[in-house]
Amino acid sequence: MVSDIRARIEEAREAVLAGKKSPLYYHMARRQMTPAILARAAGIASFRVKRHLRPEIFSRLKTSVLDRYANALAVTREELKTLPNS
Amino acid sequence: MTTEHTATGKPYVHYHAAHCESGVTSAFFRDKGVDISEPMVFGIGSGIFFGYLPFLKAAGMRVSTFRSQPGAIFRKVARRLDGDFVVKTYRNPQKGMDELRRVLKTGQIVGLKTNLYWLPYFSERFRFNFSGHNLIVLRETKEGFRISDPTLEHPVDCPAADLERARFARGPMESHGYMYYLKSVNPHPDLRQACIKGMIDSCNLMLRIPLPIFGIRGIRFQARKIIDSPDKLGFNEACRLLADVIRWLEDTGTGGAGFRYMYAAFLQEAAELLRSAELAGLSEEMTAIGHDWRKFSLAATRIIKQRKQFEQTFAEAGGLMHGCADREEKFFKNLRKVAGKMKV
Repeated sequence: MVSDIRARIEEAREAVLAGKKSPLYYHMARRQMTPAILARAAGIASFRVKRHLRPEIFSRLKTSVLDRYANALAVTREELKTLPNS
Repeated sequence: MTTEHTATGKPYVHYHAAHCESGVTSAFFRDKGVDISEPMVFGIGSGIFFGYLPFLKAAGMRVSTFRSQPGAIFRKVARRLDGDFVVKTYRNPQKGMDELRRVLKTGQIVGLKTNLYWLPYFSERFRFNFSGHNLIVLRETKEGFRISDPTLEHPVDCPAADLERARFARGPMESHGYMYYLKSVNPHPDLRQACIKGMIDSCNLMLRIPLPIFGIRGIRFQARKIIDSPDKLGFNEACRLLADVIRWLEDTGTGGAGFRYMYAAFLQEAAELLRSAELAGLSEEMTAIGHDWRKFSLAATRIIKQRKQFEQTFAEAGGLMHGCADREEKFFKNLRKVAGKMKV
């Protein structure tokens, strides 16, 4: 199960690096969340969360929305916009 | 075993337990001066159960539970042993934390239902998104809270922010800051009566819920699913289904045969308490059922690991599960009769 989760996170990282997904996707996977869970945690409708997983839309988000995600995922706003190393 | 103290300086002895909720409940009663063991709590609280809930996913796994829902053991035990208890949930995290602090200041120890992922004192390996972990908070410290987690050897510290997240994590089976404590307890509870009540309740839960996903029917339902799965879902998906069951059966809770061994231990104790040879016999039967579950998980792991001749073995694994269902049905019917006779 641990390897399962690791593999999912690694997949997410690659998708973000390839430009297919936004960094939000990686942070969501790292916290073992699905869009539905993240939506409830951040208080944002799940269709919006799914939309925000697209990089071109994520890059245009307001800080107020980013803050909600950052709070829900327990990361800072800057971290949320980037991928951590390793 | 470590000695700690609460906010008012009352000593508290931390014991290691096999399962979180029964461990927490047992610790509550020990704290109030009633010494009952963990299997006893598990039996009186009717912890043994089966439910197959494929629509509920925890950490990506379809839930098939081998115990009653989190929180039920404590409530049932407290009620059956004549204790005065409080159970609360909160919408507002701030209010929940304030209330926790207030109760802790009175020297009370408090049980919480938390999400495993956000508890920082577990190593990364064990942390996954599952809201159903029980622990005891002893007192507030400068950095956060002192916590006695019965699945650990020693009490640990946990920062307040993390504990708040763990209590109010969102997702499947949200705990909404679920908090409970025992106010007072009858110093000489009627253990015999409580045991009988617990047994009868367990039998009803396993045999008489008129839905196909609970109890013996649930086991059969899932066994049928497993037998059909390679044809319906394809091999890989079928393996995932099987792997999910195994994880609930072997990894969570006590680890091993889905609490069946613990229930056998309870029946052993109850047999001595009630001086009943029949119960002792049933305890042995339960151990044997536990072995059967073990056989099932062994067969299932073999299917998942070596990817040959699967069609035959999926049917075999399902067959083993059907075997468990048959045996458990007979077992609970017998137990119902035995317990019914003892009822005064």
